[in-house]
Amino acid sequence: MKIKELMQEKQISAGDNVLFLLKELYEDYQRYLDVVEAKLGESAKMSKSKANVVDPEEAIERYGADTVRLYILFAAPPEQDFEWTDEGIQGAYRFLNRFWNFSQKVIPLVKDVSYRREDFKELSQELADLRRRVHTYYSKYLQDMEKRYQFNTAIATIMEMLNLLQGFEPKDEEGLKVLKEAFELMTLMLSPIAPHVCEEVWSQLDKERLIVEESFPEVDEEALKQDMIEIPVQVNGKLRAKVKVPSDADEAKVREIVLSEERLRRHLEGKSLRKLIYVKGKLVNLVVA
Amino acid sequence: MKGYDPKKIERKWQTEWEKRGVFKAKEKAKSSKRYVLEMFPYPSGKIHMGHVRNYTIGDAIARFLRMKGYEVLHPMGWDAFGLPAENAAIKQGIHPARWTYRNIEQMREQLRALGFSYDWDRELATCDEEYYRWNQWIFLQMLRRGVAYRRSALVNWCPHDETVLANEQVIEGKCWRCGTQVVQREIPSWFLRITDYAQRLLDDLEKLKGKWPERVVAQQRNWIGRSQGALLKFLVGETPVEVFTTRPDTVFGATFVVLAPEHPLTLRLAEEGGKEEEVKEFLEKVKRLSTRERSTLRDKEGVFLGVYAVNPATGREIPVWTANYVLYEYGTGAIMCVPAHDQRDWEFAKKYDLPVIPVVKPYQGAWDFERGAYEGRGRLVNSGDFNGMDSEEAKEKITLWLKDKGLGEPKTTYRLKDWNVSRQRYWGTPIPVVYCDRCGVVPVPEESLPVKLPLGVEFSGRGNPLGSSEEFVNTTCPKCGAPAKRETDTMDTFFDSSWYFLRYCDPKNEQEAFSKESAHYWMPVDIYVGGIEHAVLHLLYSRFFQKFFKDIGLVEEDEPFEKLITQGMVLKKWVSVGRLLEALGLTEESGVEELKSKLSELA
Ligand SMILES: [Zn+2]
Ligand SMILES: [Zn+2]
Repeated sequence: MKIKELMQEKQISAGDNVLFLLKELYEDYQRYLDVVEAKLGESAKMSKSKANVVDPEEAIERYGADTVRLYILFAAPPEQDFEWTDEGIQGAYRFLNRFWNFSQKVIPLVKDVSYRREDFKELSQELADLRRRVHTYYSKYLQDMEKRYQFNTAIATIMEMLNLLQGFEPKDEEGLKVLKEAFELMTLMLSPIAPHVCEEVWSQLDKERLIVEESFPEVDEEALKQDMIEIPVQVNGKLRAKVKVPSDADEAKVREIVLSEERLRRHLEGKSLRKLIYVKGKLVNLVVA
Repeated sequence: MKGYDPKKIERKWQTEWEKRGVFKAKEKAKSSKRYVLEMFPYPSGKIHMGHVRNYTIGDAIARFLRMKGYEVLHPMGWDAFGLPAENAAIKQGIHPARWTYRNIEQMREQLRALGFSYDWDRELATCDEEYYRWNQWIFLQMLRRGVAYRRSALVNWCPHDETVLANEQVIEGKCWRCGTQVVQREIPSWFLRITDYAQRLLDDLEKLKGKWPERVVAQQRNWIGRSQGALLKFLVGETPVEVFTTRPDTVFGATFVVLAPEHPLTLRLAEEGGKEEEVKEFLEKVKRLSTRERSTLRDKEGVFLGVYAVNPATGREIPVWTANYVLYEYGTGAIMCVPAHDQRDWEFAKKYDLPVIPVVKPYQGAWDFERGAYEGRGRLVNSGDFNGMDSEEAKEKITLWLKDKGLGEPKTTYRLKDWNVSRQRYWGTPIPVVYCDRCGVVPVPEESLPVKLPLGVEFSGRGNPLGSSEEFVNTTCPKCGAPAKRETDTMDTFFDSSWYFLRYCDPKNEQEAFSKESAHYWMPVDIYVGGIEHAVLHLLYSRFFQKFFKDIGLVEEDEPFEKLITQGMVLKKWVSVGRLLEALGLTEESGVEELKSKLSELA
């Protein structure tokens, strides 16, 4: 039988989705379709005539509204086109599962813990660092959401925050307070995007109000302040100055600070910097010639 | 530990939010308000992923702003009049009202399942009497101020069904129902004088810079299409033919004049020139083309009218033609043709062997006028006293020189045309006027609104169903009490969507379209989210309405939408049968078994 004859019999035309032809050829046509789409697929606006439509109702039925919302907002900034993929929606679903499972682990630990901002004044280095990172994420999120409506980067920030919190093991009451604050912030941040699951989690925290009635707290500027440490700077092995840098500064940041230091300039004048060695938290050595 | 169960969680909280009314917007202090709006949908019966994306973006913003402490207005409704409902009535015999409200029910449930934070108390459908009566009220305000007026307009007409067709009902020049060749016909129609607002619509685009996508601002500017030029007179004997040109600097090179086929002078001059028959035949042919087809014509065709006009600059006689590529709706419906400096004129001149006289010489290099028109700037030649002048400078100088001779004047024109809001359809807002033999056109008094759509009408697909309803058509004149006929045209649905954002501010008001206070509190819409396809029509019409409302003292803001987000499309991969065969090196003549074996190699 010629392909043409099969197509005529089944009323398939050359411009139709290949899906209709594969259905006539195989029981397990989906397997073939996946391969053909992966190798030859072209992106096109969803339309009935191309039979490349994803039905919102089916997607909600399968993954839930929160997943659909999260995926749509994560896939691209609002103005840009994006291509709907199964991997994409499944990724969003996995993230919400991860968030849910984490919440079920954390809530019993922190439910009865209470905290105020004043409690965080005398934190250990480790907890202060964690809080600083949490509030840095939070402040970035607020900017992405309010100034630019860049939900995709806002969501990426929430994902990083979840990673951070998942790697944190509170050892004492202080730790639990920091964890609770961070977990609540993360839930508030996620709630405009995936409102149902956040409302459920919020209710499990025994809150008086619904999360939709809550307000975002201010970013804690105190938490954002970094610890500064003093480190010696050598030029060709000789101690020339001491500079203050943030404790977690990376080499680029340290380089920027060192090269703008007045006292070091004259040692560099007329010479070229061959190398900058930064031994984290301990020493900077400049090799010049 | 419980596993994640979205189904259970989502239904539970949707119910709870609704029960507690947490998304109801209240008027509090002005500084703390935010109005977040997504373009309301047409109730087709099913939401698609484009809707979901549009509304998810808006909802995330609304929820975020609410949690930032703002009082947020976030409403939803239905752009519910329009053609599909009427087509369903014709094809499936279901009444447009039933079809529409059933679809609204379904779509509302689909939106609910997505957990959008709408204030459902403010829901509206434009086909509700409580809504469209205010369409009618607004129309009467426009009529009273001369913003609405009646004149004849060209429409698509199916001679078989004896009905007016919308552009989307004309498929390759034929009627969508019966396949008959569609013709153009002139019928009396209602227009809105949006052109009176052209300059304000243009000027206020400045206020939107940085807040609206540049692309949208540019499209609106282009659509309004302001151009500065001159109105020149070419005399045919005693009869002046007025042409608008943006290139008065090239008038010495005008070697012929073309009138649009519909220009009232076309037939008259053809009679004078003894070319009546040829021209009539040509006009019949042009009538069969839609405006859209005509403006994208590849083949420019025309007929000489047999008369000559005097070029106001040279005093020489040049031939007068009519041609299919000149549209009556644009400019004056007549153009002067300078083939040396306008490519379209050049093509026409080459086809009909008309003279090409260069009058602008490029500053650098030579130009071969045998190969095409030179449309750039340069120095004037063959232009009498103006020889040697820069062409930009000459625009004004030549216009003023012709003005002194009484043959021209400077003029600003716009591409924007008045808006024809008449639709010869059932499922829309009835235009509230009555025709009386004694009093003429009589507006329906405000206290008699709404003019209701009659429910018992027949949908045969022939004519306007409203016209077939005796109870609707026959009425008495509000002025003199004599028997009179109602207008059977309904409004373009873009009228409905040009002010719905104002109704949301005060949706239950039975005395007014909206109260000034509520509009002042909530307006402007702070963030408006919708598709780029509305860049011109809906967004321009809404700006026009806002300005009209400002003029009659109903609103305070000049612009309705502060920040605009045009969301991108949702795409999905697909492969056509043809593409697969091509990629496998097969044709439809190949065997099915060969296809299967190639496919298994692939998989
Ligand atoms: Zn027809
Ligand atoms: Zn009367």
